[in-house]
Amino acid sequence: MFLIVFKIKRKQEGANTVERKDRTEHKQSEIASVPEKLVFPLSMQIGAPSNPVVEVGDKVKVGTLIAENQGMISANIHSSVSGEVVEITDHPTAKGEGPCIIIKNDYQDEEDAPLFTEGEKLDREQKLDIIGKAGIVGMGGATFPTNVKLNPPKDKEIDTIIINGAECEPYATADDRLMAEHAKELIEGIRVLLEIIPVKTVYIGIEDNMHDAADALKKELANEDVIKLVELPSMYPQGSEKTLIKNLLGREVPPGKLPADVGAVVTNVGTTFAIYQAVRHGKPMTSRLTTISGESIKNPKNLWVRIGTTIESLLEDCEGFESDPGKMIHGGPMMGSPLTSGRVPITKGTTHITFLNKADSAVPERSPCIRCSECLNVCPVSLQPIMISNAYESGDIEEAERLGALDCIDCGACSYICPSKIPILDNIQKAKKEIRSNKEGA
Amino acid sequence: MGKFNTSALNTTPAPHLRSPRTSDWVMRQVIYAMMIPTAGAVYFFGYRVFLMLLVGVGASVAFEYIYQKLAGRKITINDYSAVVTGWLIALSLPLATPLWTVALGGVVSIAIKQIFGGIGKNPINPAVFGRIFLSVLYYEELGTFVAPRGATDAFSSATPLNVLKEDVPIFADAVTAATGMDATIPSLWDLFLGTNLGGNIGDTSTLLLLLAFGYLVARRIIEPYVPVLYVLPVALIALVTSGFDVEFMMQHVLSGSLVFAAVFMVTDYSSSPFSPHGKVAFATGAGILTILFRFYSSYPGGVGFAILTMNIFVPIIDRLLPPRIYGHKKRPS
Repeated sequence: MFLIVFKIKRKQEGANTVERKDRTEHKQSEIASVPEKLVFPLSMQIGAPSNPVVEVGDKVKVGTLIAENQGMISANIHSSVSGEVVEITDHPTAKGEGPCIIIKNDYQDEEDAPLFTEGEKLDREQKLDIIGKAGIVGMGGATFPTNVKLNPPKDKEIDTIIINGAECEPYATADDRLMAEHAKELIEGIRVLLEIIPVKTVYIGIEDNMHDAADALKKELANEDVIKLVELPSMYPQGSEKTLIKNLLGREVPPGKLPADVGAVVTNVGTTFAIYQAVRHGKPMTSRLTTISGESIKNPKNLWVRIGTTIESLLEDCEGFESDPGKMIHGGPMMGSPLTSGRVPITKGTTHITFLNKADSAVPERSPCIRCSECLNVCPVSLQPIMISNAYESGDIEEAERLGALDCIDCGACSYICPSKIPILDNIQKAKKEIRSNKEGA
Repeated sequence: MGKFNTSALNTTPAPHLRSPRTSDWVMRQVIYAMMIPTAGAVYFFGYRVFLMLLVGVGASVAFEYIYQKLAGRKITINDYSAVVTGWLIALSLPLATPLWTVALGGVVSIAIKQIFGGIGKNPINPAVFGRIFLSVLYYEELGTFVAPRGATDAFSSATPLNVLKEDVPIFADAVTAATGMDATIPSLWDLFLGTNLGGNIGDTSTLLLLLAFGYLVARRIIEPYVPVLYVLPVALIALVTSGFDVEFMMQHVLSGSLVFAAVFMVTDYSSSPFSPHGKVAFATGAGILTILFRFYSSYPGGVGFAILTMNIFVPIIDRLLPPRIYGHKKRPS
């Protein structure tokens, strides 16, 4: 295998503490209870917010379109329950307060018509159209509209599809469980991808600590020569798109370019499963597998959650708290964003919700840089993180730009590893913001 | 159950978890590594080693405290870096060194660290500077090495490097005169194990230094290629210039402070370049300079001068050899 292990993982203090998956990685997924009210943020995806097509008082079914895409980079949103639209208002979301459609659940679970009639033969364009109609976006967290991703400009020659199953966030196990429990459907989803983009090679990239997933996939892939399973070293941030492309194909995506520019299309395993459901069964994206985890949670779980379910509701499924949480994170502790409201709903991009305990949430005291250069060693895009951070702190934005601040992929490995606890990523992100606003201003 | 008190939640930005590594943990690992050659020093030279360590470390920590207090800086003696510096100074001196000289070495080292602003800011390796300072001031005294316990009847023995410097007869004579004995080159096996050898208390046993090296690599404190690339040019140049005399090469590798410096000095964070390629250039450059100084200077042990010389080039190396950023064709310039 032309697998480039570009960083040797050596033992840090104690065990490799970056991984805290043990409480949920072998737990069979369960179906989450559905609350009385569900909240659908109009901005669940990257790009333009969706435009509501229902009004207060309208009756909806499971799969009814409630908001449609506006422009190229946007997505449709469907109701995940049957019931009635009760409010269109501002509500807490993972991205802060924003406009949401609120639906009262009637618990009848009546289903709307599928996206196409059963038995209908679909061509490539129709399949892409269905993926768009189904409102599928990247479920690994980036939430980029999948139909756009799967339809790169004609001049880009795609030779490889990569299925990203390398969930490297410390508590994330939803993709692992999805592969372990639905390997067959996942591979059917890959066949759909192959029908849309015919390539000779598909890699399913997972981390070498995902044994349940590896076993299930290997069984399904026994006589397969197009789709290949590759077990990559479990190392943060293995699941970052750029890192994965480099480690699997030995190619680097040039700055400002997309994976398609180096002949690759990368989709997350959850997204691939959603593609299967849409193109094979006509189902829009109305639910997803999400992990509720962290030391504070009494009974952490991998849950099939209807989109729009609030965190509060899921906490009850997990029997509440074992200890007072110090931090609630949308996503994982490496790249997730802190939340302050339990009323925030699960959206298409919610891979997991992490509840850190008080001790882990404490902000460690900063001390002077000892020039250990560990931030350079762990940076997946070979930046000199501390130098960018220093440049920002001394007000030299031009130097921060020269050092490549804009190439940062926000993985946070630098801040994580820093023995002096310098908020390196925070400084780089501030520098990026300033560089970008200077450019817009110019 | 679902409702909970959200007002107490912390909202600082990502990443929300930090590695358990801290700066003082890193420094403690260096101390654990130094305990390996220190144990050897006690075995070879006896309990005076403890006294030297106590004085070296005590003087360094005390001076750092006093300096920071007087300069109105934050007291940082808790980060163990002064302990490391003082310990290194003590290990790099011969057994006969007067205790006040050891103390002076610690003070000078800390001074060079503090005048640049403290930990992480000193472009010059403090322990190397302190050691060179002492060897210039006390050239004759520090040239006298006390032989380890159990070594034949010699009161003192020359270090092999002095003997190796045949092209500088004055120096060899001085050593012979000072020690009152004929200097002979020790066997390679003695050089490797550190037995029957004179020298600085911490650097006689290459075997123990290799164990310390292994510990530091396993703990991810140092990059394994740095010490290797430092020793390699010394070995290669010695081998080639001697007409492929392997014994001559091994004497150069195993004697003096070469391996000690390779493990503990060339790897110093503060006075080394940031990037991997920069570290390669730094270590290789220091290795080449070391063998050149050994061949062409009238002073024994080019190790310290080589490292200090390379320290000067660190800002230039950092500027010229940053890593190539992912997706870019060239290094940032």
